[in-house]
Amino acid sequence: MSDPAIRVNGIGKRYRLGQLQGYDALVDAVGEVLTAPVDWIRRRREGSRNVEYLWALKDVSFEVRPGEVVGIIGRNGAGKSTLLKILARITDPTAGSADVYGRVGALLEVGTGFHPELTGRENVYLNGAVLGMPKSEIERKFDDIVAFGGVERFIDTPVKRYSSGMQVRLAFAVAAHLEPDILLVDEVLAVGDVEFQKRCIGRMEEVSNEGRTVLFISHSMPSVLRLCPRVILLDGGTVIADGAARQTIRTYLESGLGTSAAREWTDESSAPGDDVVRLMGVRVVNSSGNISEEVDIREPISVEIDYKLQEAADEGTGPFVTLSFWNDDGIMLFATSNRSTHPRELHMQPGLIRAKCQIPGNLLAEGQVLVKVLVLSQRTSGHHVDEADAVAFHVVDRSRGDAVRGDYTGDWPGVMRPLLDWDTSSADLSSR
Amino acid sequence: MLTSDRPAHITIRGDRRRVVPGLVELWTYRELLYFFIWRDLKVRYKQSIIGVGWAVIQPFTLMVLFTYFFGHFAKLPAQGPRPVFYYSALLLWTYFNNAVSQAAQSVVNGAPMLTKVYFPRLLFPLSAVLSNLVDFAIAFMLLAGLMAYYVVQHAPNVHLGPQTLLIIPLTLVVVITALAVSLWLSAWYARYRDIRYLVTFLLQFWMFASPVMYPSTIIPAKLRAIYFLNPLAGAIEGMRWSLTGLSRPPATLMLISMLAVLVVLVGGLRHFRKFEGTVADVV
Repeated sequence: MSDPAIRVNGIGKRYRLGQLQGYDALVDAVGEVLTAPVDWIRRRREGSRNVEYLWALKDVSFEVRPGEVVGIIGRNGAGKSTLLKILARITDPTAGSADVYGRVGALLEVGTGFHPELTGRENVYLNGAVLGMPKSEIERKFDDIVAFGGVERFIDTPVKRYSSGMQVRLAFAVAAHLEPDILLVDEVLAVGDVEFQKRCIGRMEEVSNEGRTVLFISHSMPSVLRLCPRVILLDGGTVIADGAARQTIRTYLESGLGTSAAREWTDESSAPGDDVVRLMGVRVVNSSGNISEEVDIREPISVEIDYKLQEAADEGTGPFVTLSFWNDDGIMLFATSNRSTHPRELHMQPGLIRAKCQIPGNLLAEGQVLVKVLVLSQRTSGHHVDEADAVAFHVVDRSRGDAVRGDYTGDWPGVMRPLLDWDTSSADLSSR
Repeated sequence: MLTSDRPAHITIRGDRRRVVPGLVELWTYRELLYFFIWRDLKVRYKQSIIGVGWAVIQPFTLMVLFTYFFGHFAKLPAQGPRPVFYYSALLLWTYFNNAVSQAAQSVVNGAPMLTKVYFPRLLFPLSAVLSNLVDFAIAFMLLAGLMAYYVVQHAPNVHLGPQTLLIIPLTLVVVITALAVSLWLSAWYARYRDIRYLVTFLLQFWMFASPVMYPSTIIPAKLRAIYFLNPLAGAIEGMRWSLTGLSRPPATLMLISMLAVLVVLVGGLRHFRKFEGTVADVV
């Protein structure tokens, strides 16, 4: 066996909770110094509870051979991005070490180093240099980069006058022409329009075919399956599974770590909730009543929530359900609740309750939608259940012509896409 | 192909950020340093009509003001022609002031970049301190013109000679002082936003503690030893002396202050290296 490209030995990364290690103002630090002895004594007496620190990564070890393309999956907060940041040397690990053999290129976010006052040409040089390209190499590839980005006409215009799409395209063009031995890619690269995502994936395929080592973070299981023969699954900062892509992805989906269209909790004691309410299941179902990962943009979709009421509520104060819908970028699209409509008598005795909410067709935009489930108490205004990313589904527009975008296939921004009434007629006086 | 002199194998650890390997690494990133300096200059004079002219206008205007207010009205003592007396001090002071205030903010301003790509973070304060040397060089040309005028006029108290060459090491002292201070300030600023106000205050205080508006001869003799621990005091008086041959600054005290600067510099490098590893988490 040849030498590895990357060898990770027991890497750990600890963050301070709340303030993320730093202080916004010196006053806080001074305050901390003053209260430190008191805190220290209190900690001693209460035993060291690990509440102030969060281990984003804990004892992570693996090896990657040269030329391997490895996918890294796991839900949000599993430590994926932290791992790539450590391998890219953006932040140091708290524990452990890693050996990296070869030159590393990291695409952790596009737009890296663009300065609004500088022209496109100047930014290409600066960005290339920041990413590690010598000047001679940038000069050689300059025309290709500009052509790839499709900004030839504006190359001597300050970047602040570019549209955000143009900036992203140019930044990606620079990054795509980087030729490192090891490429670290966070899926933030995949934001943007469909065309841009396709280009990203296409370029990654090229890179992996050239025999370079790639570490690729993604939430998109189809992309991971297509690109990566091997997948590492992270959860809670540790490696849960590491092996063949299909197997690891199955582990991920079956363990409930991934977000799918349906979730069931069979073990009542570990189900989300408290002594009053336990969440038993959440499903995304289409108009024919089947669980559905993919939803036509024109079709209505329902979210079903099953929860178990473990003790009878006081009269008129039963718990109610609130659902909030989020997109990939972490933007909340809207929230809805049965607070004023749910039948109160239902909560007079313990039992299993099903709440169902229908979202009409032609309302959501295309893309991934994540559903957060809250079961709230009317009495205490606290929550019994708070389950983010409980279920997810994908809204697709097959461009049949009767949705909002009609037969237009280009970028259509916006987080929602309601089909609205338009009345367009002649305003010419003579025709009235 | 990436820059070929960067090492092909690196070990990432949380506990090893030594100064000397850091400086060696800095050398392999010299091209990026050049790009950062170039970017600083480009950005500084974009959309500006007078452009680099501002490098001269700032110290020149102050020189005229000082000459009138302190010379004609307040009648503060000065050695040699007043324009040379004030401009030579303002030249060094303006450089120091701009270099420190820009370098102190450099790490925070670079946050969008440093949270995405690795490069030695030392490049930020270093490029800010070095890019201001270009402004210094432009402003220096006016001093050369001023000196030429007085030499042609055979003005008394203007003596160019071998000692004039001391301008180079004296400028270097100011550059190193600016860098040493900026290493601490930029690292603190990334953590505590209060530093922005502290920097403004510190620089105002420092200007009064340096012989910019007055000659150091007005400082009582018993306080001189403390006064000249300020490396800028020695550098400014040294600069004046190298142009006029008047009131030679105390060499021993200057050496001591330079040693103090080196301590601050080495301490700053160590502090900066330690902070560099986790700056992306706090900035």
